[in-house]
Amino acid sequence: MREILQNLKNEALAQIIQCADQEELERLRIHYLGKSGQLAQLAKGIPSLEKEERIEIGKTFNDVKFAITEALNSSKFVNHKSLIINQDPSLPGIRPPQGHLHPVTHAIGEISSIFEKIGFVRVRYPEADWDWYSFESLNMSKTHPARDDIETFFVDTPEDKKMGKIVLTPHTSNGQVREMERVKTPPIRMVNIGKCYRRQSDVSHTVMFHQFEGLVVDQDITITHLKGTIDHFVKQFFGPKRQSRLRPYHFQFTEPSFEVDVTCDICLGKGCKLCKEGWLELGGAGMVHPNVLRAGKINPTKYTGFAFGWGVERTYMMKSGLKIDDLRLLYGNDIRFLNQF
Amino acid sequence: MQILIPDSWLRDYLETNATPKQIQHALSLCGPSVERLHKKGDEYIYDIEVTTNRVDMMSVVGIAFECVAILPRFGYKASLKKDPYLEKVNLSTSKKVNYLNVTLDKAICYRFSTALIRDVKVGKSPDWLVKRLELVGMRGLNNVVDISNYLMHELGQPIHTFDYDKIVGHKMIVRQSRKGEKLTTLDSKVHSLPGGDIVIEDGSGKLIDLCGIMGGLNSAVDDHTQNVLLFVQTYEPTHIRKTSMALAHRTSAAELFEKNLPTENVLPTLQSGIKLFSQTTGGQADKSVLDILNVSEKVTTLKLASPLTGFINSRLGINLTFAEIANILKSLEFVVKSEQVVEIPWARKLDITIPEDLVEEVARIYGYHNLPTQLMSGNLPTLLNDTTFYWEAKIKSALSHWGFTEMYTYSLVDQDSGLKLKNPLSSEWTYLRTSLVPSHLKIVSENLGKVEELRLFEIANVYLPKKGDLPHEELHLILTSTNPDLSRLKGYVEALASELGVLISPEIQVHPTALVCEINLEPVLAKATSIKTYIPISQYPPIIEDVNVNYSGNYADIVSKIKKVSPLIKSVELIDKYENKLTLRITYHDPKKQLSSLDISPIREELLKVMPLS
Repeated sequence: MREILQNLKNEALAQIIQCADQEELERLRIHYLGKSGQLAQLAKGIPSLEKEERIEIGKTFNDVKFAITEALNSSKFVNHKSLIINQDPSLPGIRPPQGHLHPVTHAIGEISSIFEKIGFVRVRYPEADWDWYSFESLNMSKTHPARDDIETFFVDTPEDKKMGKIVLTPHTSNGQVREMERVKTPPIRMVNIGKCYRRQSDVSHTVMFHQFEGLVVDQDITITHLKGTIDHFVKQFFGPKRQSRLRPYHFQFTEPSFEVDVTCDICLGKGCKLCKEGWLELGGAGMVHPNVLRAGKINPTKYTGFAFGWGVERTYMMKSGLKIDDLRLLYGNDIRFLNQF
Repeated sequence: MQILIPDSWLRDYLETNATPKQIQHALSLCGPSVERLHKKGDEYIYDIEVTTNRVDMMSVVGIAFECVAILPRFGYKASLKKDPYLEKVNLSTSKKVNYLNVTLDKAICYRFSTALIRDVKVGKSPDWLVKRLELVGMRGLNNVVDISNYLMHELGQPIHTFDYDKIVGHKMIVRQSRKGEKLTTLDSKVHSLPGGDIVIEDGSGKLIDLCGIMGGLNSAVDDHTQNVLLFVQTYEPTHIRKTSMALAHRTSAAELFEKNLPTENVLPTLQSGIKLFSQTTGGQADKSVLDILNVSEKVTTLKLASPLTGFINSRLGINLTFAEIANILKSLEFVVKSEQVVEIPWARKLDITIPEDLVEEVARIYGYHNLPTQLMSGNLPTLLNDTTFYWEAKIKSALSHWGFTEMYTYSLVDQDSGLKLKNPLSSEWTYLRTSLVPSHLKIVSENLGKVEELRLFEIANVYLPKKGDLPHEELHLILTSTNPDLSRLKGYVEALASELGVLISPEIQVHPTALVCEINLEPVLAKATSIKTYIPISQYPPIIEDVNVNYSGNYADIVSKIKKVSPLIKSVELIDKYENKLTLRITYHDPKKQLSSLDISPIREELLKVMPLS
């Protein structure tokens, strides 16, 4: 019986492939699948089989029937109208499986494409890096108090004489001197996006987070270029209604240094309960300190540059309408949270 | 650092027609950030963030100076009502006084100044003083302590007061502490010193002051104090910081001293202190003030290699004239001698050390908001030949569209990996992970029952220890599924491999709660390609037939046997598997001619020989 079914299937498939018009296809359908067609005939024999054989043959029978139906339906002569199922257009659709990208991936994708449009090159640098790249080369000597403000994790390995300890990068700024070493001769337009780590965990801090670091080094780079780049980003990322501004600040690795603010998405700069007089702090920026250029073997009398480094999560959460009130949700990996993105 | 400045106190020094709101706005754009403007009764209080390089602004006077430079740029009138530094210091100073015998370690104390104030009546401070202290969040205690707090807030220079009669032998030895020495500070805390701390020992050999941080309890002013030593110093900052951090004793004084205070502020503060003591305690200072200066107070100048105007404009991207630049700098108390030489005001000499520092001063007072905005011109950088980001995005997109949800888990785990943190925050996050599997099994157990089926993925680095070098950061992909069908998970890997144009032989781990497949992406992405080679489409259709074969548990073996039979067998696909039977679809094809059953039947016979057809 099994043999017969298989042969029937092969014969049917061959005929369907060779079929030349719509009429012949209809004839084949009746011949194989019709009320008194070949399969119907064979089906009559099934009940009389032994139980075990019956189950097996039954399955083969269904497969064969399915295969022939499929072949008929996929022939180029089929009349599609006759195939429509679920004729009621008000029935819900049957969806494909839908997964979800993590909000951080969404944010990184948007950020990198905004900078790539204006000629920035995306790079990636070590997450566990030498003290030299994370601090020392950024004009932060061992005794500098600025280091204490950045709560850093140290890896328990022997210290390197030149490079110092191994730290989990507390910021993506470790990419600055690394990028200068890679490129050697400017122009540099880098966007370094990566994981960072700090010894803090509360509503607005997680031990692991992401930053994106911009670095531009070339001849004749001025504060106006930093303003232009930030403005480009703010308008693209937050929308044309949002504005940015620079305020004086202090960082060891930039001079001058700025704090970048963007207008609050709720009040658009008028001032409300959720912001500081209409503005939200985006993060730090500045003109690259000559000592940092020197550490990257770039002549600070010939080249100037600017840099900025902001939290991916923080920036993403300042987008309108997101309403995430606890940063730790992002790394809690609750599927009911992640399935919303 | 934060400081609260009441508006009325500021206006003791500042003459302006700007309102508090206008002052807040202007300062925030060009100087220190006024984060909030509080209102207490009819008084406005500025809540100001001062950056660590601008310790000179940690006082009412410091903020007044900034206002004088900034407010006129916004069209307001602003000038100083009185300049505490122009007032002539009218003290008779001497390196030796008869009321105190001092031995000093010059390396740790930059300036040691003190005045003996006799016949002090300790009591309540006048109301105006208490009120001002309360406005900035301090409690009035007694007039002696209140004067110290008041002056520190007004002038930014910490002050200490000793009960003169408690200093045995009226002798002070300023030295570094030895490890383990004990000292009880004013707040009754007993400290065992780490060593190398700046302390003062009196004539009896006991420690009476933890310098720059807090005074000793044994020499503190109390209700019966009659004679007070008004004490104004500056110290070597790194010692102060080290001690303050080691003892976790962060006082306002320590926060200031550790930023390196200018010695020039000492005598004006001392003079103001003597006056206030006389007004509020009746105490009178000894004619002779002890003042030992151990560093130079020569005016600092900045010499520029290239002319100031050109340099500033090259960083600002605009064209200011020399006069405009000099004007701005003058408003900040700088003296521009020439294009090459600029004199730094003493309050700024530790902050302004390179020409770029002048750029900041000019730019911020000119106003960042007044600078134009433009994108860079010039050459584009050479693109990096790294396609990892492209493929990562492609993998993420494919998996999410196939129903997988992306995770971001911490790189830190509790299983020993060989890379331990020296200072973990919690035992849960102690090691750098070498595999993504434990993190995902944890997520699965946390999410079981929340949804019908979990299909998760993540792309992240693992960290492999390397001797004497940074760990190797290897990019891994993990797929996790709670569906027990191994073929399904394997199918996703196969589909992914075909997206990437590579072969991946996945190793699927079976865990009690989930199937997991971790793939090292390094070798995979090195070979990944989007280039497909076109195979011409044959005009001859293939012959396809399904066969049933017996299955004993090794599919790969059966397929390879079938394929070996004839080169005309182009593919073998699994159509169905039922217990010990497989249905296979065999495709025969010859690109050069139309195959007929005559061509196939000898092959079929061969097939029968190599495998048990059922």
